[in-house]
Amino acid sequence: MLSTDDVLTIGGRALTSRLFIGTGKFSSYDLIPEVIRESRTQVVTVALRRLDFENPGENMATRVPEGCILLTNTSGARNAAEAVRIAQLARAAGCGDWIKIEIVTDQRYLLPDNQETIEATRILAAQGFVVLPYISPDLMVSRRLVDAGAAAVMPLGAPIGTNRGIKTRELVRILVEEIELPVIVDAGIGHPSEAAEAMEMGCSAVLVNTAIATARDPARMARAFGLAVEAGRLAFRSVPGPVLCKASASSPLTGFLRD
Amino acid sequence: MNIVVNGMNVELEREMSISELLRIRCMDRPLVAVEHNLRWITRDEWPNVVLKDSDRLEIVRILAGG
Repeated sequence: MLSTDDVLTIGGRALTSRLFIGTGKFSSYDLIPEVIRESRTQVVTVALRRLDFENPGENMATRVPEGCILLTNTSGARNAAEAVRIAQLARAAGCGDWIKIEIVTDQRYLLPDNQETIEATRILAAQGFVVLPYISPDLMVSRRLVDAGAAAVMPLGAPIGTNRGIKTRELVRILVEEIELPVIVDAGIGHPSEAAEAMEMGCSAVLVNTAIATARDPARMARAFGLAVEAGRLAFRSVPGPVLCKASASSPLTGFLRD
Repeated sequence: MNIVVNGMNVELEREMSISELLRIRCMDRPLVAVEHNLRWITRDEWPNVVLKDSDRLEIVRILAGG
């Protein structure tokens, strides 16, 4: 059972799972329900694209269990205006109010445009959206996002899809320390140990997609991530002991058999 | 008459509403949204918007993404 005495509240929704799952890159939509079940996630990201007029394709709606929150990303947006347009269409499509702002013009590293992201956050928060902006970790940007009405900040750990872990850990740590909003590491987390690390640092949640979708056994990896996130969170709440340079014996230093 | 749907020219044999167009094309389903001449419209409005020559539609859907 997930802990119910440790709830993460975002946009008025109480979450007992701190693992958000992305649905991209799976070899088949058939895998998604089991991945969601095994991970025990309550928040699932989706994207919005033009419908192929000749071939409407499979309906994603049937793959996400009822009760999961759909978090639509604005991938494809190159500026604030495009992100706002996508968000409004997502809401009109019935995806609800949760929106992950993702504004990217850099195609090599897919790094987000923080400035445009602030602007989009301001507009969408004023329109009642629950705005979760994907950002390069930066304290001043995060403070402006707080003022703009963001519901959380989502700093990247490493570029999208790289599975490289939390290369930005010092900057993320500062956000955890200084920003009142939930900090959710998005992008870069490649292994459950890295998800646990984010949670031990005091992050409120993590968003994982590629690491699960590209594992040989995605459902089992989803379970591993769910356990790691819970373990990391428990460790954070337990307040780890001090880190020392010199040894500190764990057994009594008296009563030895010699002498 | 001709309209533009997702950037492509589409010929309609007769006047019809957005909901009728989507029904005919089997695109009337959950998690689909429509923008009509750069204005997003709710599903409730689909039956009331009758398409005119040169109208521009964006029809989008939700799909997998990270």
